[in-house]
Amino acid sequence: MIDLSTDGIEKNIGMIRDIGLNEAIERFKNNGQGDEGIVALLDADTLVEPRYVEKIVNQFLRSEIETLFLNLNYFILEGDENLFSSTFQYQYQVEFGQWLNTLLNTQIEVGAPQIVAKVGAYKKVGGIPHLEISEDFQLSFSLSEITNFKFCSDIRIYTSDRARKQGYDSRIRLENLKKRKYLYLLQSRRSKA
Amino acid sequence: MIQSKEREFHQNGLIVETPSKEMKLSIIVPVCAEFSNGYIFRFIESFTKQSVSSNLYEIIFLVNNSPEDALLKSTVYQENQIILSVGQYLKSDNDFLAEDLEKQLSSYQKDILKKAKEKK
Repeated sequence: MIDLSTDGIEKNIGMIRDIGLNEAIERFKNNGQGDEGIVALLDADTLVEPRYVEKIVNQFLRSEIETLFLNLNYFILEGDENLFSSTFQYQYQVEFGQWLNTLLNTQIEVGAPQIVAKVGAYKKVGGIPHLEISEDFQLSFSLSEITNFKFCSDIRIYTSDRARKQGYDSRIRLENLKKRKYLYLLQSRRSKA
Repeated sequence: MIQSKEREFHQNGLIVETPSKEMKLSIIVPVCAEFSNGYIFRFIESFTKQSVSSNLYEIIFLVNNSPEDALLKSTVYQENQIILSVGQYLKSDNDFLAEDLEKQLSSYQKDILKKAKEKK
């Protein structure tokens, strides 16, 4: 564990993850793995399957990939019809989008727990962006743009749907996803024009 | 990437244990007040069930809160201090929990920590 609770320095989530990444890079330098070392990002409320580590290591051993995007699943802790509906819609849209992006080999934007990459790949994109929000979306976008990546639906991770001031996580993410889709459509129309 | 002065500062707080030669995967997890909601224990539990040797991977927990939380010793900060003592227990060779920590944990949570130590 690294204690960042008492140093008196304001840090956003991107900076915190980047401190962890730098620590991992140092440790891989020490054990001889260097740029071949693999770094996964997770959140404390994430759960992983018993073969999580085994499957990830095997994926990187079997192929030349530098980045792996995993399959995120929400689980619901309490019964709520609206929550179930938004979770389901989000899950459907995200999975469909990821499948399509992989098929078309276009950029991917995913949450942090879905991102696994070699040290060399993180170095290529300049580490984790120091942002308060969407650092994971920007990181995955860059990784899918620059590095050799694969979306692996076979490796599932699970996270709870958290209630926040603005609503449930999945609902917020769904709305953001829709906004970004519209923005993307507008941008592509403009560039075509 | 964290560079120069900022990087040097954080070097002071870095992990001192030597990494395993077999270690191939490093998992980075920010943690902020995840004690009372129990998430941290569920998380640790899912890693006690991994199919591979623990030499193959390591988990780096980054326990964080705002400077204001630290200054006011808020509940967030206090929860984080408990999590840090859980980390110290997991790292140590001692199987006995400190009295303060033992009082805070349920038997289910103690069992998870015991399994995590055995896996290590």
